[in-house]
Amino acid sequence: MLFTGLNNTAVITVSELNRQVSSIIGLNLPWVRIRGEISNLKISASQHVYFTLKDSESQVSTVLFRSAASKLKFRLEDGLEVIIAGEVGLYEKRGEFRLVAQALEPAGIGALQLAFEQLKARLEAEGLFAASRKRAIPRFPLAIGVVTSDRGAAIRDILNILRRRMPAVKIILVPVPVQGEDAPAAIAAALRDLNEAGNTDVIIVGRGGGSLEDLWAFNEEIVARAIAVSAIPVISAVGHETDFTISDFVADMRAPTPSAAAELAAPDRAELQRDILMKMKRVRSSMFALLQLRQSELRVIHEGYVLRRFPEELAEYHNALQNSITVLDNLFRTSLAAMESKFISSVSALDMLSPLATLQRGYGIVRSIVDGRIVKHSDQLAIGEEVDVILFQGGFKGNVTEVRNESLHG
Amino acid sequence: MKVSMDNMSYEDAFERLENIIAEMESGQLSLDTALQKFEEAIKLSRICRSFLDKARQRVDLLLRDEEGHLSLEQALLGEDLPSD
Repeated sequence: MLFTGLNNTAVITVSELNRQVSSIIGLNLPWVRIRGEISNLKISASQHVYFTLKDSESQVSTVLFRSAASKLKFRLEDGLEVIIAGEVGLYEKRGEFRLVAQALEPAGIGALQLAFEQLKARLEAEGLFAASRKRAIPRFPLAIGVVTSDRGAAIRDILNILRRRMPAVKIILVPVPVQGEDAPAAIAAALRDLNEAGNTDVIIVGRGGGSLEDLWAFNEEIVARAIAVSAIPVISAVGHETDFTISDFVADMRAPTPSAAAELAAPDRAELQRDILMKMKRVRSSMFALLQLRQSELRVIHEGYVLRRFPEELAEYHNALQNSITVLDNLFRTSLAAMESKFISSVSALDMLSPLATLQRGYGIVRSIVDGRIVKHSDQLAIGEEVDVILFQGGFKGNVTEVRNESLHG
Repeated sequence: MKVSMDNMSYEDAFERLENIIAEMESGQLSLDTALQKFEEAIKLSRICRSFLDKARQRVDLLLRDEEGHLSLEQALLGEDLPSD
């Protein structure tokens, strides 16, 4: 017999063999750390993760159970080089040994860094960072939503800046935790709440400076998606100048700090006050310019009139044309006279009104209540008609009790 | 064009003012119309300035109650939320 030497050894079952192998493995390889590349990655319906870990020559089946898999910040994918801490066990049913991973981290790069790069690449591929998606931040917001902690430095900075720049703007604060396990869902919910509540023109979402872990909530997909679907434009302001988060990329605008976000969100009132003043100066000077324009137009008409008199003189030699030219000339005279009188009355009305200086000398402007036009001739008025009088300071309304038709200038 | 100015927002007033300037600077207006615009511009500038002159900052908290309803509550500004 081939197995003569083993004749005294007890015959065991397959299960018994596997149990013994399993216990030997367990005793000799209680805990291992292994580096290798992931391939054949599969995720079961119950969220357990199965893959083959390999190097250039060998491979080993690996399982990462759901409880451990759910703690990973980054995504597992084929080709990813990882370091696994786990146990080696025998899958007794099949007689195959496998690695049961308890913890897993990417090799050569931090887990958070990898998670950041992965999410960034994924959302970018989806087009969420596209410039065409960015909405303009409104020029004059009446209400600014702020999603941050009510205890942090960020809200203090934002309120200080807004109070200085534009106290008229209302602030709607949605207090949220900005770090820790609950932060991402709370921040996302706050963005949805502001959209639901309405009456907010722009939202600042962010927090003050901290470590990469402290800022992590703003690198979570749930926050990025809430920003992306917000109907209200969002300014992301996380940490310091040098901190970039996924929120920054997906937001309509990135601010380097919360203070800077407040400056981007609200215009400076001192600047706007100066601007209004400049605008009113332009209004006034265009009023004067219009006056000068009308004057020069009148001059042109006068000159034109003189030139057109030549044909009339020529007509003395062309009797055939005499009658028609006379008719034209009369027409022209009449219309010019009408234009002139209209102009003079408009000019005098404007002279009284535009430059407040004239009013200051004690003049008033009388306007008909009926059609709003300035009264230049008493025949524009009827007894009993109501008029509005503008004075240098204020004005008054009155009733016409008498109408005189004699003119001051004959 | 008659515009009700009572409820005009700052933004509307500002934009209307910009339009008036464009119209007036075009030099195409009759003197009567220009005069009306001139007056309207003065009113608009007052609306803008009264908004800008508001001095008091208001902070509301947006909160969701147990039934899931959203409500606004004026913030009681403590040490952490300094008021002036």
